[in-house]
This record gives sequence, structure tokens and C-alpha cells, in this order.
Amino acid sequence: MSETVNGRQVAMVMDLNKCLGCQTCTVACKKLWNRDTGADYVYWNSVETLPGQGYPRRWQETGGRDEAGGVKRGEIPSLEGEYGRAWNFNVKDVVNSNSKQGKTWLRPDGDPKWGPNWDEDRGAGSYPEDNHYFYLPRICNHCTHPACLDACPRSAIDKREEDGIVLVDQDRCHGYRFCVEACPYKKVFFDTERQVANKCIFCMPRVEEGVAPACARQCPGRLRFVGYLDDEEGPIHKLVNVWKVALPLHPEYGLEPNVFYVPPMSPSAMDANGRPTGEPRIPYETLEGLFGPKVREALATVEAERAKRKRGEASELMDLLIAYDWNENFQLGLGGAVGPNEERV
Amino acid sequence: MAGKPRKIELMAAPVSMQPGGYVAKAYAGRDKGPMTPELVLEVARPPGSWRIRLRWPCPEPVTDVSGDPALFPDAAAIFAPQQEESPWVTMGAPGLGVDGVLWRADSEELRAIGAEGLGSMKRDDAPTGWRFATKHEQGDWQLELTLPGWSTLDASGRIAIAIWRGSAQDRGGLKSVTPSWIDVG
Repeated sequence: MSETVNGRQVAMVMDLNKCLGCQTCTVACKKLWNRDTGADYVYWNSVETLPGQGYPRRWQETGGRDEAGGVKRGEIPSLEGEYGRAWNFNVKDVVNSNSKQGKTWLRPDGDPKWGPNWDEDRGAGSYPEDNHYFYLPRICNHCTHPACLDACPRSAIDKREEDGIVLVDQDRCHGYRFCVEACPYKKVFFDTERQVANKCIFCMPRVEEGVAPACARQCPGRLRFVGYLDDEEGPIHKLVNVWKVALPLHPEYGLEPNVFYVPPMSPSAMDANGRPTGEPRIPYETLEGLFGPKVREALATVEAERAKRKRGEASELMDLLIAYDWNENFQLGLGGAVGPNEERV
Repeated sequence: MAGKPRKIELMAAPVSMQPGGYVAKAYAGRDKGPMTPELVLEVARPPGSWRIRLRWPCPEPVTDVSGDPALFPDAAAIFAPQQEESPWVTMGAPGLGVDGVLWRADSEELRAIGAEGLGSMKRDDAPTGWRFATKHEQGDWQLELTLPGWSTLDASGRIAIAIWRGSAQDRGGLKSVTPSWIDVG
């Protein structure tokens, strides 16, 4: 595995207890970075319903790492099978039909069988006993040991020394797609027109100006935190290293992702008589399968701090997660300061 | 074509030497046999030019990869050594370059290529006058290249050939190659 020892590492925490699944982050990212024809199907930021198949479909099964962190041959998702083709709609026909007899309804072209959020809000379990779902927003994890970088025979992928952002050099890229295949998070894509790989750049031009990525800034749920891992006054360090409530996705792959998640709490499941069982609706096993063995510990901490807050006691963790002052979520300046160009909102 | 057709057995390019930590491990063993086992080569030398014809089996041609990120095109490359010692299997080495021509089944244009070792290939516009004709017939690709003014080949008289089978997801170092330089001078 490539050694990528960095000076600093920019990182993100997402509190899954606050995600509404509204896709505002997805739209903010898509509008900003991926409007080219060859990237129609590409979502650097996606929000998927879990339990579910995700985007691209079966991404958790098709990457280039096994459960012990070893290299295995991954798969390149196909447009029809895993990503889902971008739909065109019969908008003109609908508009024109207003003046005619017989209304034409809006529908996509073709006969799509799959697409992003195809299984949105389905989840798992049985109503009313233990039905459940939650949303998982995902971007590139800008891993400390990126599988994509390791996979590129042309050294066209780089991890920046100054902030740990992982970038594709599209002038060097020859479109071999070993990076797409190897990334176990399936967050490297391929521009089918320009024939080069592309991926989330953590809104690098914004970060360089001290402004948080668009997905984070546009999030109505205020669930995203952005900062440097080594900034002891910043939210990332506090949530990841001090409170230890923010966990990496699939840590078993061994890539040390730098996007972290506060796992979702859930109400109790019910027994056949409608009485609470005390077991969470979202099984611990489901969450441990995503975020590793420290899930129970993290949830216990969040629940304990929430209980303190309910009793009227102070809780730094709850204050942080509630994000009373949203500006505190984004700390891209030095020494815990809000980024120099961050507008206070 | 004045040249005599020569049947050449191909080998899979060794994956163990591929740069980076992924390809060699993920594709270990894939090089036990080539995806394209053989080709037929004819070379002619009209004045000031080279005319090279290749024919190789490809039962599932891939000529259009637009719109699907999981598709790879069929392709072929012919390259010649810039120095006597330029290694063929690594497409040259630092200071011991190779150069040549790349044809892709999804493109109307040839590309000039140059390399000094694995992972270093550069692609550029092909020289004026370089052209190709191709057809897929009876399960075979037939490719005829006309390459006037290829000075590297004029000097060396040797070529090596690489074939990528798109349907097998051949690309980069996943390819079938001639087992050595071939004398064509």
C-alpha cells in the first residue's frame, strides 16, 4: 500500500441522526461540478437509504478490498446495472398536451430498471415491530491510504500534502479505470465523454479559501462538520478523537477514510403485543457492519450526553451536535477559527 | 501488400510488473494465457513508408464505449525501439524509449505514442499522413496501417505489438503482446 504521510488532513463528520434525505447536498455538488454529458450519471455526493443497495448498486460488495483489508479484484459498475442511466423526461410533450384532449403524463424515456435512490425509504424490517431505515450521505473519503491512488499504474492520482485531498490528474489519466474498480466505496467515476476518471475534490478551490464544501454549506439539516483532524479546537477532532462518537465507514478496509459518521440512534423495536423490547430498531449488527465495532460505545456516549441535556445539565457534545451556531460546524482556519472567507450565516 | 504473412503467437503481458499496489495483486494469474492468442502480421515498405497489416481473432468486437463506464474498446499498438537496448515488455525504460502508433476501435483517428517504461505512455496527434483502414470480418479484426516517415522504425527495423481485447476488459498493462521484438526491416 502506498505511504501517504500528510502534513494536514481535512475531514468531514456527518451526524446521521440529522440527515433528512433531502438530497440538497447532492444537488449542490452536482450543479457545481458535474454537469457535463459524460458525467450525467455521476454523483460525487450521494445519499442512499440503508438498509438498501446503495449507489452504485451493491457498492459494498464490488470494491477492491476484502474484509481483512487485503486487495481483491473489484468490479467496474455498469451504467444500466449499477449506476442507473440519467433519465430524460417528456417535458415538451407534457406542456404541449395541456391544450389538447387527453393529458400526457410526465415520464422518463425508456424503461429504467434501476437508478440512484431506486429503493429510497424502503429500508428493512416489518411494520410495526421493527421497520427501519436511515440515510447515508456519501462523498469520497479522501482516505489516508487511498485504494484509487494505489491502483493507478500511471500515478495519475495524488494526495495533497497540504490538506490530504485526493485528486485525479486528468492530463495523466488514460481512462484505465483501475481506480474505479479498486475503490471499495465506489467513489471514483469515469467521464464517458472525456474518457478520464473523476471524483470528489472536497471542493478544493473553496477549501483553499477557507470555505467549506458546497455539500456541507448547503445542508439544511446542519449535519455536516468540516475541519482539520489535527485542529484540537475544531469540531472534527472533538467528535472523532475526544468524544469518539464519529466513526469511519468500513474501517476494516484499512484505508483510513477521513469522512466520519455519528451513527443513527433509533427507537425501540416492539414485540408482538406492541410493547418496546429495548432493542434498537436499527440493529447494532447493521451499524457495526458499516462503522465497525465501536458503534455501541459511540451510541452509548451520545445517549448518555443526550440524557444529561434532558436533565438540564451542560453537554459540550450535544451543543456541538445540535449546532446552535452553524458557523461553528466549519473550521477551516488555523487554531479553530472559522475559515477566513466563510460567511457567517 | 508485398510482405509475406507471418503468424505470431502472443503472450499475456506480465501483471506482476505492473506499477502500483493493486493491479499485480488483483489480476495475479491473469497472465497465464493471452486474451488474444495470436495474430498474423504482414509488413511492406513502399518508398518512404511502412505498411503494416494485422489480423487477429476477436469474436466480440467492442467499437462503441460511449455512455457506459464499464466498456473498453478493442485496440492495438505497434511500437519500435529508439535505442538498441530499449526493452519491449516494459514499453521502454528511462532513457531507452519506444514510440509508435495506437489504434482504438472507437476512434476515427490514430494516436502517436511514446513511452519510457510502464505507466509512462504519452499519446499525441499522429503525424500527418499516418492513416488506417480496418474491418471486422469472420470474427477477426483486420487493421492496415500506412505510416510514412516513421524514422524510429526506419532505423531499428524492429517492432513489437500489443493487442487489447475490450470484451475482456483489457486496458493498460492487461494486454496480449508479442514475445519479443520482431524484425521487419
